[in-house]
Amino acid sequence: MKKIIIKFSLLLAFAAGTASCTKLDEEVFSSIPADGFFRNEAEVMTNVGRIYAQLRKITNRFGAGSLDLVGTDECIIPFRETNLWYDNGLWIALHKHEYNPNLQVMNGGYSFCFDGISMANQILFQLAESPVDFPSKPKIIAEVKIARAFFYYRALDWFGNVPISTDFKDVTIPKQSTRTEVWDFVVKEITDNIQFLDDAPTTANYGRTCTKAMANMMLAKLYLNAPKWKGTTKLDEAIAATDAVINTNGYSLSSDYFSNFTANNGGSKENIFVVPYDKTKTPGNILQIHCWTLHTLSQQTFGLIAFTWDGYATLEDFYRSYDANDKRIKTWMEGPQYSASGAPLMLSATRQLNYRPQIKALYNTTNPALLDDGVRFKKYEYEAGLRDNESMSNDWVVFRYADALMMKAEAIMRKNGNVANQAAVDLVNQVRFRAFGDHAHDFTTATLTMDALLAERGREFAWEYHRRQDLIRFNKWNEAWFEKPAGNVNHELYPLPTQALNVNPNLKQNTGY
Amino acid sequence: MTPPMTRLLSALRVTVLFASLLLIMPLFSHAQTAGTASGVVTNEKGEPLTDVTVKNKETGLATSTDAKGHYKLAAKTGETIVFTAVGFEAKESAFTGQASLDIQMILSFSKLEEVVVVGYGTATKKEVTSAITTLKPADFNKGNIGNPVGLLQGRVAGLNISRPAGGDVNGGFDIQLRGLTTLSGGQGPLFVIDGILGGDLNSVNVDEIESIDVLKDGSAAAIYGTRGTNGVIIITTKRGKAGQHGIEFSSYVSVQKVAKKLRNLNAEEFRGAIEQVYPGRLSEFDFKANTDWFEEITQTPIDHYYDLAMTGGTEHFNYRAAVNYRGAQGIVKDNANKRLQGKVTMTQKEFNNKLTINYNLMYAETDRDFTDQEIMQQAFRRNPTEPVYDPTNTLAGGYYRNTGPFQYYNPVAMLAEEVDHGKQKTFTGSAKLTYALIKGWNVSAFGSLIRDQFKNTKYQSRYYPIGIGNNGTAIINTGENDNKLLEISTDYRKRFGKHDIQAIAGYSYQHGENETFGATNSNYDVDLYQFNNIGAGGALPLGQALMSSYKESNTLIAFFGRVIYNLNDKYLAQVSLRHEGSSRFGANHKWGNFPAVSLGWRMSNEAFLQNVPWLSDLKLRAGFGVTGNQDIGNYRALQLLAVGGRVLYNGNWINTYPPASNPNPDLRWEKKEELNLGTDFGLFNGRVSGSIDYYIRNTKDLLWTYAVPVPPNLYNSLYTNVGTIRNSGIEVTLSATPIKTANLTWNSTFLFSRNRNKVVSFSNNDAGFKLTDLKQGYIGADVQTWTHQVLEGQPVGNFTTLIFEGIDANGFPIYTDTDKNGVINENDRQVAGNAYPKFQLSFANNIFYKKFDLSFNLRGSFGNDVLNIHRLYYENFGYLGGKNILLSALDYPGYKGKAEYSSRFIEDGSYVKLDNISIGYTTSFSEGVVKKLRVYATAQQLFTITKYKGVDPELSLAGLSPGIDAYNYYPRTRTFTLGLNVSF
Repeated sequence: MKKIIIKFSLLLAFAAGTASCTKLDEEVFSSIPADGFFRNEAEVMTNVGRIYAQLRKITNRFGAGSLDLVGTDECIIPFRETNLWYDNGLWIALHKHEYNPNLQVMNGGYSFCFDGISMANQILFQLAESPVDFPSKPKIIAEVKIARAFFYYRALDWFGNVPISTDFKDVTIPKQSTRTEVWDFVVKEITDNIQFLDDAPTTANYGRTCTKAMANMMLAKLYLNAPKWKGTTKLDEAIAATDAVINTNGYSLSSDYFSNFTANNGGSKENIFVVPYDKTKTPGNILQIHCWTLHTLSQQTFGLIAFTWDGYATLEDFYRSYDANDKRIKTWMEGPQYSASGAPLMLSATRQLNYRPQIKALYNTTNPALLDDGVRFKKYEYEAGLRDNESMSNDWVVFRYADALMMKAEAIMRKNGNVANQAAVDLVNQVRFRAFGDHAHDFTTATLTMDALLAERGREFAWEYHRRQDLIRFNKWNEAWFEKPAGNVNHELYPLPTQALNVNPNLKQNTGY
Repeated sequence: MTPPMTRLLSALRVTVLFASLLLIMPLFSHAQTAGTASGVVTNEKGEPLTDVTVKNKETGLATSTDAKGHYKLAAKTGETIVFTAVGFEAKESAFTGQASLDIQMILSFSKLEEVVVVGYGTATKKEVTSAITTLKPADFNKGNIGNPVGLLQGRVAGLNISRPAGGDVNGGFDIQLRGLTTLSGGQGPLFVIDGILGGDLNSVNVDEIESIDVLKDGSAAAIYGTRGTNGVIIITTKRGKAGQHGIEFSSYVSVQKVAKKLRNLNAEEFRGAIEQVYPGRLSEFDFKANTDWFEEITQTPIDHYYDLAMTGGTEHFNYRAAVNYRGAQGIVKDNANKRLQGKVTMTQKEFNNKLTINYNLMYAETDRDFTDQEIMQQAFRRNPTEPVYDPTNTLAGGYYRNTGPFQYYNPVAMLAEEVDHGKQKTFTGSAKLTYALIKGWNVSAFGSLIRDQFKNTKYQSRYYPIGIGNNGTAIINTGENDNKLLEISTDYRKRFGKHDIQAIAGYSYQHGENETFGATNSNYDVDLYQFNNIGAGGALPLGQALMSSYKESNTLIAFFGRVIYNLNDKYLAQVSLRHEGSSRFGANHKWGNFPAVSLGWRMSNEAFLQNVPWLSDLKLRAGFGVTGNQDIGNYRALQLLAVGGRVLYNGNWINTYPPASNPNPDLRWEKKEELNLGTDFGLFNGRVSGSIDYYIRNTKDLLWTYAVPVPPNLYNSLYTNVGTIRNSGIEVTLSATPIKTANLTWNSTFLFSRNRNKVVSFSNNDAGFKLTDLKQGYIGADVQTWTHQVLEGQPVGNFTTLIFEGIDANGFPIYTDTDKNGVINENDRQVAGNAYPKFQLSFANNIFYKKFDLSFNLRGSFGNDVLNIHRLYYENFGYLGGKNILLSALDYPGYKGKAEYSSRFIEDGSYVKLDNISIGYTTSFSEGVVKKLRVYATAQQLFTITKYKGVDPELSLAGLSPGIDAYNYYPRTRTFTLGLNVSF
């Protein structure tokens, strides 16, 4: 009997012991579970800050970074000898404007916008819910809304008819809006919130979306492009917005064009809005222009450690549009190449690396573009010692003062029947004078045609992500150029990516795709 | 106290309770008086038999015969002694107090009485009702094999084992049982090593393995619940045996020779090709040397192995201890693996043999020199006219450096200027206490701990060709993996009349913790420190050094039970259930039930078959079981924030925390339901025997990452359960002994397996998880395209590509314009092959003639297609000049195409391999210290018969893009081994 009692109690003990041993909660050590964070001002700031980490994806060449660059008349990525840069035909399709919703860059660009928008919605929700209060809170909220407006501004430009969502708590699948509605929404968001933003640039608001000038630059772009995006003309509003920038204390043209693009361009008075990068502070979503464009041998010219990819170049016609005396021609590297110490850089025993303007072909497997075909981009300073997978420390320039001048001139000319008057010429010549260092190359009301203005914009803003927008606004996007046939008007919008259509049944594909 | 501590403590509390109860138990036991049975066991010829298990049927005490066939066992008059030995019929004899109980064993073909480990217990082969394969050392692959998995290759029908890294001594095996059952979860089986779920394979010495049991079907594996889907491989190592003592020594030395490498152009051919393709431009590409780059980076590797095992003891206490060292080298210089393993197992019986305590301790220490497989790739494509060294180039450390071509590095410098070293130390300890409450009823507690530590260190000198200017880069990564297991169970067995019932019930708690730490620094003044003074690098003060750490944990808790019922050795039934929870699953689905049922009918025991003389055994089996797959990583159900990189804010760089995942409280295990129908049969007294199994396995709730709209979601994808995949197949195992005479025995085993796979669905449009296809596989550099397309209703493994029709007059490839729109693009792709074999065969043979033995194993795979990535890239002239190309490019002198993915490079990868052939000589000595001596010679991978033009058609079949030959490859080798085993 005793035996049985003991056996029984043993089983009981077994059962009792195990009952307390059935907990299966996950313990997280190295990430942060999403609840229980953002409880004080510093944590709130880290929360807001992620909007800017998202903005760094603006230069991602498999997304935003290609949509405004590859396929314009200022950039080409040819298929090069030794089988380089075919990449499943992506760059060829972009160059020829043969768009389709499956191209990786479409989803990349779309995610750039809508990941940012969703993030902004959540931050705004958390800011509203947070009991933490501090004096700058209204400005922070406005700043997040302006950042969200910027993502919408890009989505409006690239994809046009996109959904508008602003409420984080609304978990329904968003409805599609028309491009006009999106335009109205973005303009309203900016005009409603601009009052809360800082008047002048400071160290504190550098690289952020909380200056009035940044918001006005965006407004100026929205108004100037309104004929394409909304179907109306908003030239007076464009002039007012650019005036607001020009009249802001603290912005001016830098005397040296290239000083806006140095590795330490944080002090530029001309840059209105930048996306800051830093080689040690910003791993992930890094800026690697040197890799895009330089042949590896050019490492020795700049003292780079990083391996570079020998891809991006500009088109010969674009390069030829520069006057030899235009200082901005130094945007490009042309001719035989040498190391920093002056030794010729040799591609092989008898062949020196020689960046030549002409490019054999976009895509020809038997007679492909040579490794050194096409002049290379060096507007941004390439800092010596950059290593593999390390970001350039140059801050990426999104808006600068020169553009305010040029946009105002353009608006004036458009108001004036697409003809320059002295006011327009004076504005453009401010930029022109800096480029040449003399008045001998100034425009006159006779020489500053719309085409001349577009070409000048091209040279001034080469690879600054304005070219696609400009070509569309000037109705040149669908013209033929080197290795690119004439296109149709539907290609002024990109297709909505397949991934976005798959997950949102409310979306209808853009016309022509 | 932290929650895991509380949990562990409560687990401990149970153990302590349990142990103290055990201490009281003996007080209630009865004492018995003991006599001794002893004698000699011989075979039919009167020769003494060693290693015969001698067991007292009443007390359960057991011993075994020594080298002279002698045994001694405690027994009382009237008790029954059972004698069993592999290959002999079991014998029972009553102990009548006689002075000497001598037994003559009779040879048997039948394997019906063989012990099969079924997981949480054992059964005899005749009782098994599910698909289980048992292998003993005689069935293992022979030769220089360092990993237990290597022993199984080609030995289990339906178990597909490949070694994708070829001869890389640090490369592992890919294992797939009965096809792909998951889209994104783990694909490897569960290893149970001496009772430890998820035991460490690297600690197991192949010479110490007693048996390997493979639980293949759902009804067998369901007792392992959320880890059973990919099958269970149970490894049981040797233990001491009462009555045996001795020392065993084994050693071998082996050498490898290159069996196949890629044939590129040598210097002369290269110059000729340049003249042909680029007339007049030879001076651009000819650097005047003649270098065989393959030769420069390879060596003739020599491996050594030494093993010493000691065993001894009585029925009350016995032990086995073994220590071994294996030094292995790879064909690529600086590729090595040195391993020291030690183990001690002890068995102790107390309290009148009611309490049995098993201790196991294992320790393994491995030093690895990792090879960078890119070195072989660089050597392949390096211009053979370039010299290796250039003493004038001090920047590159005297190596010839050419930065002209894209991603082009001197492989000799890559090899010599990098140290990539790994150290791993693994300790495994376990103890099991079993107490016999009454006859047939036991309670047990089992606890184990695995502590696995690694430290990987790498140094690239200032002359390492990738990133010259970094001035030396040191990398240290360390980690520790702890795994604790506690299992408490009770088992019961009762025979009454025609009924035989076995039951087990238990509780299992397993907790794993994983921590890593890493640091990287560069810019050293000297290369002397390597990674031993990582702080000295100049990158640290510049903020360019990296540091990281990580920690994760997970817990599995289960209650399990099983009942086996045997009616009159005719009707068999088995029912099991595991109720298991994993911390990895979502809050709404932490726990799941994994039931199984299987039935067996031994028809041969029915009266109507009793008179069929040639039929010695016939059993029909049917089993159904549900298993899961929890191998999905930790924290997949939670919403996490990641460190999102710093941003400039108010002039300061601050950290940000963007979402890293969406929450999924409904995340649950992928659920496999498997039906297995089988038969086991024996003919002519078991001289011919075999099994046939047919299975259908449906895996539901497949996990995949689905795009979700942002907003409203925060993160653009969700990991969730949607799809279904089906595998069905047939497996045949046939064993025969065609010849058995006094001097000559020939045993032969033939395996056949075939599996069909179908992705039933991966989309759920109603739930918003819409996918038209999964484009998988990736060809990188310069081509950048996908290779495989997974479609609903189609099998996994389809190569979807342009169909190559030939070369046109201008030298360009012609592709089928499938949609007839005049444009060749992705829409013209068609299925051009499938990576999975249509069927697989193997044929293993053991032949014994007098003291000689010969064994060989042929293994074949048929109908599997392979993407020959090297031909895709290098069977054209696009790279010629800057780089080397394949010799076979010269077969198409007019070809002008570039590197492109098409059906031209999908090849039939069917193969037959002679995995190993071994010849040995064994002799025994009745006098002197040496009892037994064996010498042998083995050749592995002696030949491969295949039409495949690349290095090796045997590739990893894991994942959704199987069958792509590796771009960075490792040469295949033949291994020749000379070995010696001595028993003292």
